[in-house]
Amino acid sequence: MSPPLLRVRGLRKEFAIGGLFSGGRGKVVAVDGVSFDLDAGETLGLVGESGCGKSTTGRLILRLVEPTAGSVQLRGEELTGLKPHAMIAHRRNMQLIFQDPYSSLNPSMTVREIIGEPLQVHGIDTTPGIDGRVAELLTLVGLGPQHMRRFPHEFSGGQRQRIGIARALALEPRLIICDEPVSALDVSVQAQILNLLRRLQAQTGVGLLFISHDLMAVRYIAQRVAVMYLGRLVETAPTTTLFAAPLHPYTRALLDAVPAPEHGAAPRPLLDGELPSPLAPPTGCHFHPRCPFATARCVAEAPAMTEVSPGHGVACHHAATLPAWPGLSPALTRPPEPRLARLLARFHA
Amino acid sequence: MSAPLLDVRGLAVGFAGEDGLVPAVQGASFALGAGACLGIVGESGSGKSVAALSVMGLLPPATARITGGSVLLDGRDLLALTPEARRQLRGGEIAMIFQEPMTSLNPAFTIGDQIAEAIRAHAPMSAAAARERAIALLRQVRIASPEKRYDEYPHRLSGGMRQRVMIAIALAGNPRLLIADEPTTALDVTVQAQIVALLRDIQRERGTAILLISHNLGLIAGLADEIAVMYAGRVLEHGPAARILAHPEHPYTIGLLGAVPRAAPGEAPLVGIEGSVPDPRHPPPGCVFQPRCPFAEARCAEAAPPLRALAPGHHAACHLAPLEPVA
Repeated sequence: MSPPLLRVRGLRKEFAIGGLFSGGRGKVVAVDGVSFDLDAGETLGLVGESGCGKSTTGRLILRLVEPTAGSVQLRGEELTGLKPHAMIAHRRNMQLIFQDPYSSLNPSMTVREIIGEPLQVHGIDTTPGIDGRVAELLTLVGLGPQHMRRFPHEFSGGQRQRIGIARALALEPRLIICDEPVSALDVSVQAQILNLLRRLQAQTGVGLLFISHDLMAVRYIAQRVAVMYLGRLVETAPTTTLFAAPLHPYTRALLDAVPAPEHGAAPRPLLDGELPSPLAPPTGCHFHPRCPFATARCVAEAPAMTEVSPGHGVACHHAATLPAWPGLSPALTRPPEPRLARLLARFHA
Repeated sequence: MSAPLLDVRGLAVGFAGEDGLVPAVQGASFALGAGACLGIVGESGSGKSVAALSVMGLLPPATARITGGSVLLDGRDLLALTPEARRQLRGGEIAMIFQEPMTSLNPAFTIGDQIAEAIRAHAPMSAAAARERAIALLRQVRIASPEKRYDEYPHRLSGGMRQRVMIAIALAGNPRLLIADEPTTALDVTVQAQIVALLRDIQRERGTAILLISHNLGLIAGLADEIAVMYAGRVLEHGPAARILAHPEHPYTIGLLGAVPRAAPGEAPLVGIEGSVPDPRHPPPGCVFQPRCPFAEARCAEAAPPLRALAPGHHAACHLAPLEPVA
């Protein structure tokens, strides 16, 4: 069997903290033993709250940040430890889309320069010439070649994100890491970008690591989901399984917290507290201080990721004995009423 | 129905630009009854925050101009008041919380002192009495061991805790109207739900009316009795929350509802509203939503549709409404 597009094993990142003025030196474990696979043509959603380490994980895979330990393999080839010149050949296969379309495009470069630059850097032979290839890419992301000579400030947030996507696609990468690609955009524009990513994946077979705190966006775009809490993965599952029968209490809490677009929807039980400081993570299972099911064992011992069904892993001592989960709020899954569905259909025309 | 607590009529606000005044709010009207919650939903540039700042009297005086309309609180036009009279209202009858709890607190003072300062600004009392009341407010915003927390500095608190402190400061003057502008946007998902629950409790326990401003229809749905949908400086639709969510009449509202992802992978694509919000300096002719509207007809580019009543309390500004007669 051929290796997966991306194989991550035991990925770990420690950041040194303190220094000159704070006396002792300490460390923060931002990413703590993260492992997952991603296949070609697949989207894996990496979900968690701010500070959980999901963005750092993306950067470690690209080696924008050097991992402390662990392995990252792209199509079976180990990337950690490669010399910079050896990484260059792999970089064209791995691209990144940023959250903020305002600060991630150079304001003094034209769209043609922004999208054409990776082609020049990697010395790609473009048969229609760089202009032709940039025009193709602009059309692919729904902008059109007439924008080539314009500057980023002339575009709206959604259009800028399309430019960022075109730049990421320029080298025909096999993997794109999307770090909160729609969080900075307006609601109506988010849908455009999610649809664009879905379409591009179907056309090119690129693998997507979709990093987000927005569970409903992840449910829409990802085939598999990994949930992260304070540096560790707590649950991974096929999307349909995760949203139908989540096992980890933290996953359930995240799903319960999604606001339902319905008047008078019954409030769900709420999780107490907030993400603890990664400077002083709780012992045992990191989630135990907020977990309604925590026992002495959870305080003492970190649970290992255990596969409960094919592709569904959970890191919880009590996963087998938790009460059934009532399910996502029906307002989030119910198809629109017939009238609304008919009216919405006009937007697809 | 008795006169509303807050009645905004035909509000128009512009900002000084290089080539004259750029309109931000154009003839927006909305009303909020005592103890009720009105949600204003809109995207960036819709004018929702500018409308809120106009009610609060916090528009930047150097650049903003209110060019029309009135803001009535209990029948009294706030726009006609002197700056000093408005200052008295702020933090007293009307209070506001913002998106960024990180930058809204003074890092050099303890949270307790900041709450006590707000209390004493509106009701002169001894420092000891203000401390007691500040601790009671911390308890009311569900901060555990408030006596200890009183003496902590903002940097020691998480984002959610800071927003709770901001809410405590807002409640210090016993406001009848609390304006919450994107109160949960900067917070994590699980903390967002906690703050929404807290706002709901405050509305119920204290009878505080809430003007909730958000881009998130799901958040608004959880709190609001009434919803107003703003776009490009105008109110395009307003009505009872249940009605707007179940039976929207304006194509923009319909598009917004469709843009909330509900489908699983492989199911029908999301509704994306094509295009983007118009430049306020160059608004399209006729209806502001017409260039992005899949229902638009020739007449939509000719004249801007006025808000029309379609059902009790339900108004939409669309030539084509009702889009489908009620079966």
